[in-house]
Amino acid sequence: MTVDPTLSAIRTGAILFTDLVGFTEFTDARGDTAAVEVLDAQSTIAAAALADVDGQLVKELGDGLMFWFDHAAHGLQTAACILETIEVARAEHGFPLSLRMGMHCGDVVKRGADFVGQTVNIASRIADLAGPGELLVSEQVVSAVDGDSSAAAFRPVGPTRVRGVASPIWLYRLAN
Amino acid sequence: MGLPAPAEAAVVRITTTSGAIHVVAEPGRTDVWSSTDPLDDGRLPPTIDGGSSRVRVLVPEGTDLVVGATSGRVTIEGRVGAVSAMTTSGKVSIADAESVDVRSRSGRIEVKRTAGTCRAIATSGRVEVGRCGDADVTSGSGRISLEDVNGRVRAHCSSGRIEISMGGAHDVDAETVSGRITVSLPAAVRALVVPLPGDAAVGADDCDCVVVARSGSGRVDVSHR
Repeated sequence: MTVDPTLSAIRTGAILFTDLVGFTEFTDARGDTAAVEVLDAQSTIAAAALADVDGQLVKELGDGLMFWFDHAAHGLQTAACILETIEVARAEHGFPLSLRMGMHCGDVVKRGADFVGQTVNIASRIADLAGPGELLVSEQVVSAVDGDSSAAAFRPVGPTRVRGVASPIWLYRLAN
Repeated sequence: MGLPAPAEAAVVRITTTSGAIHVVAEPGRTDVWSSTDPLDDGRLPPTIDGGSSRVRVLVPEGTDLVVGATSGRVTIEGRVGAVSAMTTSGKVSIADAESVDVRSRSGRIEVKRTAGTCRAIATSGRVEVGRCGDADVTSGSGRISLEDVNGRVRAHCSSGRIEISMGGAHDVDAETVSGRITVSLPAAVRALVVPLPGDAAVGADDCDCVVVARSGSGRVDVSHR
């Protein structure tokens, strides 16, 4: 397959991945229709969270979502909004699953409507390490929002390694 | 190799790829000793990176730690401060910490004692916690066992069993998609047991605590001892 080179460009920003914890087991237990209802609810919540920021939903990956933001602070704002909305829905309306999230920032290659590169791979890896209702971010994200008055407090959680990256990537979680 | 003693609020950072990490907090110790050279990374104290080799580190009691290995085992002995630990496949064992935040993809997590919050996340490994304050524990498919909790509990499991023994009257939120949930309470504690957090609005005033326990297909047992 040939890709039009004019559609490819290097950009700098933040990638956010989300994942519904236990979605496969939920689908097994409750069935496909209930699973689709959860996905629809997640999409509605994500769209609302994006309304006031400079960012976009890049694509859906099964029960996960991938976002792009020009600024890490906008990604944090969106992630915090989504997490809070989901947790309130869980407490008040019985929304059945929690969300986990991971974010990293750096250079990416825009390929058509998609984004590819090591920054994307690392963000995905970070999301895998998060717990339910948790946002993990790389040290690069913390540095990018350092000094921002809206920057949230972070707590260190440890280093992780990604194939192709020599140094460990130090991770932080958004403090509750 | 002696390193500068950690200043107040400083954190000792230790990482390896496949090498095991063994940290011992020693009473009376005032400096940090490491079996490997620290990195010159501009941090104080500098990061200790063992690569594929085993790392042994001696620290003063109460030292805060941030440690991580890809496949190596992480063992922390003695009384330490706040611990954050992460591994991909190695077992994590923590003896006594002020607070714990530990996660592993497939390795087992074992925390014997923490006065503060114990946050533990395992993708597929088993999680065992002895005495702790608040507990926030997640496992994808491994069993969760909390032996003596003296604070609020949030336990989430996708397909494993959850066993909780409470040391006092504190709220519990336990959820598993397909496993069994067992909650043991002290005899004198009056608990309101409900399946959803929102259901606790009615009747909670007459109780000492609220136990929210829900399993998609497993059994839920809440008992007194």
